[in-house]
Amino acid sequence: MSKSYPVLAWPAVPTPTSEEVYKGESDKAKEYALWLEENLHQSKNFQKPEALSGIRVLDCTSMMIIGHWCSSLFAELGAEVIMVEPPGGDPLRKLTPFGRKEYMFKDSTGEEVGARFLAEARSKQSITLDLTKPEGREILKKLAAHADVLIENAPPGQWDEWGIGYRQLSQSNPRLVYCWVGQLGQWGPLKDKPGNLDPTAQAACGFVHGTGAPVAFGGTPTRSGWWMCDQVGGTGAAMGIMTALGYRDKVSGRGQFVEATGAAGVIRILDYNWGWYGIDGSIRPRYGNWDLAICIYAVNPCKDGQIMVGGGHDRLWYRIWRTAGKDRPEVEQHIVEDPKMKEVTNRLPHYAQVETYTSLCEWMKDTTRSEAETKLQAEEVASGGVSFLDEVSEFPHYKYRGHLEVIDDVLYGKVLIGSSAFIGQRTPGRVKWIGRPTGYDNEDIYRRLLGFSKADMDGLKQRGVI
Amino acid sequence: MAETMSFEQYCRDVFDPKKIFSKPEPLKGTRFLSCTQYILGPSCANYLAELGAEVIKIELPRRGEPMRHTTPFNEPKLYPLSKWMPEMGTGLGFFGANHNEYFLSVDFHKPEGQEVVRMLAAKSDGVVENYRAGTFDRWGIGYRQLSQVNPRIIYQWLGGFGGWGPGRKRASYDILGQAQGGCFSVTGWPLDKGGLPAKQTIWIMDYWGGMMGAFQVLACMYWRDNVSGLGNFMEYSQVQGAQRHLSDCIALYGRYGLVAQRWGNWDTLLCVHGIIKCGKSSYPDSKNPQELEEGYILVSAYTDADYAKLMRLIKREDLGSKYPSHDERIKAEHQYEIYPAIESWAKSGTS
Repeated sequence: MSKSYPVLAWPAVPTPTSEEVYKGESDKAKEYALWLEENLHQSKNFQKPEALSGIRVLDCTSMMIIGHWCSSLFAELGAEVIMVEPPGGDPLRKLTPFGRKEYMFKDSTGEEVGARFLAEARSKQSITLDLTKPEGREILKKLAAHADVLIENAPPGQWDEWGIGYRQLSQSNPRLVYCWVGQLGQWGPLKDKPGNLDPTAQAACGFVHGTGAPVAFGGTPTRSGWWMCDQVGGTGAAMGIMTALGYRDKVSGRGQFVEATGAAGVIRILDYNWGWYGIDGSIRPRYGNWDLAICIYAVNPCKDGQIMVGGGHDRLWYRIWRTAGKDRPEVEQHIVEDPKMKEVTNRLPHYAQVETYTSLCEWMKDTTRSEAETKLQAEEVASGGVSFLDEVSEFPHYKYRGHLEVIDDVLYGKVLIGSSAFIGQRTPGRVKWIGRPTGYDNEDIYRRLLGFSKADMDGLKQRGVI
Repeated sequence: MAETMSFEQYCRDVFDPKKIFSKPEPLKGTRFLSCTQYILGPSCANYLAELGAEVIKIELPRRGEPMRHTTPFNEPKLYPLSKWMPEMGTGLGFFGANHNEYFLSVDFHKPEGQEVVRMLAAKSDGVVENYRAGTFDRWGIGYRQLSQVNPRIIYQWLGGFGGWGPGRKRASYDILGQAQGGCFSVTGWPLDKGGLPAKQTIWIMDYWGGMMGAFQVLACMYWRDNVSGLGNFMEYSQVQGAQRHLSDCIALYGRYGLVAQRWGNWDTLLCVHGIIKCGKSSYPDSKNPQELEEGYILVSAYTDADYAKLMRLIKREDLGSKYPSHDERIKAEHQYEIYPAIESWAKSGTS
C-alpha cells in the first residue's frame, strides 16, 4: 500500500503580499496596476451590485455539464438560478473520478456529491420535481410563469410531447426565454443518436481528429481531457440567452426559443478548418503541440516536463535564440545564420518547424521548466511550463489575483474552487455558496413562488412528485 | 399552424438557417470599437457583430493586425486575394474572428489618432481591447479617459495574466493559457501510454475566452440599460479562464490533495464512454492520406443495459457479467480491461 500523507491546507505556500509584488517599482510604474486593484479586486465584490439580479433562471438539465455550465455563468453574475432535479437528484451528482466515493463531498445532511457536479452548482438552489408524472408537469408550468429563463436538455421533442415545450410554455409566459441545450441538436438526422453526451460532439465536429500528434509522430486523435464541448456550447447558450433577454427588455417585450449545442459551438470556433477545406479540400491535420500557422508557438519537452514558448514575429524570434545562445551559442548560431530561416514567413513550412524545434529542444533538454521560463521572461518572451493542478493551485499570480478561492460553506465546509472569471469594476461575478443538497430548497421555492402549504408538500412528497 | 406541426418540423421551421435574414438582429443599434489583435479580443467583438452590433475594428495603418499574415504552413494559396490586398492576400487565421465588421486604420501612437479614438468612443456603446494592460491608458485612450467622454462606455479588456499581480507584465498566448492554466495537464496521454500532453487543436482559450468576454459585455449592457445607466470596466484573464474550467479538479486538490492526470481518450466519470481505434479506414480509396488512416470511434454505453448489449455484441459476455455495475466498470484497472476488448473486436471494422 502506498503511504498516505497529510493534505496541507491551501495555500500551502503563502500568497504574496502587495508590498512584495510591487517592491522596487516607481509610483508611476505601478500606478495603473494599483488603480486596477483598487477597482477590480475581488475583496470588494460584495460591496458592489450584481448585473443580473432580478433575473430568474430554471435550470432543468441533468447528466450533462452544458446546461449547468450555462446557468453557472448566470448565477455568477447575480441571477437567481434554481436547479430543477428529478427526485433523488441529477445522476451527475453521483459521478466521481473512477468511482472513488472517498473523494466525494459530504454535506451536513450526510448526502454526497461528486466534484464535477459541485463545481457547477455554485450559487444555485435545488428543488426536485418528477416530470415523468403529469402532476409534476403541471407544477413546472406554474414555475415557468415565474421565470425569465428556462434551460432543458431532455431528448428532442420530449418536453413538447409532455405539453411543457416552448410552444406551450410561451402561451402562458410570452416573456420566457426557453433554451434547449445538447450535443447535436433537436432536429436533423442525428438528433436521436444514443449516448449524446460530451465527448460525442467533440468526436463529431472534427475537434478530436485535430487534437494530438500526427501519425508520423506516433500520435492518434485525442479528446479534450475535460468536457470541452459542454463548456463551449454552454457559454454559447449563455450568450444566446443573454442576447434574447436584452432584446426582450429593450425591443420586443417577448421571449424566444434558443438552441445551443456542443457541436455547433465548437464548429464555430474551429477557425480556419473550414476555409481551408473550402479552398482545396484539405483536412486540417493534427500537428501535435506545434502550430500550423505560427512559429515559434509550441509546447516541447524540456528537462523536467514540457514547456510552452511563443514568439510569432522577428523581435521575439531573435530574443528566443539570444536566450538559448547564452547557454548554447552554437544553437543560436545555427538558426540565426541559416538563410532559410531569415523571413518570418519562411519559418512555417513543416521542414522549417522541424528545424526550429529540434534546435530549441537541443537547448531545452538540459533546462528545467522554471529555468527556461526565468531566462525567457527576462527577454519578455511568452513562456510557461506545462503545470499540473497542484502547481496551478499554488501559482503565486493566481493566488494573489483570487483566481482560486476557498468557499467556507455552511453545508459543505471549506471547498477550494476556481472563482468566477468575470472580473469587473461595477458588477463583478462572484460565488455566494458552493451548492445545495438535492431538493434542499423545495420548501423555500414552492412556498415562495407557488404558495404551497405544508399539506401540499407532504402530499407531493408522498406521491413521489417532489 | 405552429401548434399542429410535429415538433421536429416546428424546429426546422423556427431555426431554419435560410430564414435568418428575414429576422431582426438583437443588437441592432449598438456600436462597439474593436481595438484588438490575434484571436482573443477579435473573437469577443466578433460574437457581438454576429448578433447585429455595428463593430468597428481599428488596426494600425499599413500592416494591419498580425492574424492577417497568418495562414497554415504559410501556403501562398491560403491567402485569399481581394481588391484591397491584391498581392499579399489575407491569411486564413483572420477570417474566423472578424466577419461582419467595419475596418478602420488609425495610428494609436499619434495624438491625432488618439483623438479619433476618443471621438469614436463618445458615440459607442463599448470598446473591446486586448493590447498589453496599461498601454491604452498610457496613450490616453484607456477606460479612465474614455469614460470621461462617455460614462456609458462598456470597456472589456482581455488578455493573458491580467493587469495586476505578480505576473502582470507577462505576455500570453492561447497555448500559454492552456499550459500554465492546467489544461495540458489533463489532456493527452497517461504515463503508461507515453505521457504526452496534447494541446487542443483550436486556439480554444482564445475563442472560448472571447465568448466569456462577450457574455460579460452583454450582461453589463443589460445592467446599464435596465438598471444603472452606467458603463463598466471588465478584465478577462485567459489563464483565469483555465482555472474556471478546471474548478472540479481544483476542488479535489483543495480537499484531498489529488492532482488530476491525463486519461487519454477514455473518461474518468463514465464507462464505457471513450474513443477507440478501429482496424480499417472508412475511405480506403481516398486521395487524402489522412483518410487512409484507421478510423476512430466514440463508444458510449455506460448504463447497465447498454453495457450488457455492447458486451453481447462483441461476444465478451464474460466481461459483461464480470462488471455488471457502473461502480465496477469505472475503476481505472477495469477500464484497462474493457476498452482493449472493444478495440480488438473493432479491429476488423471501419468507424
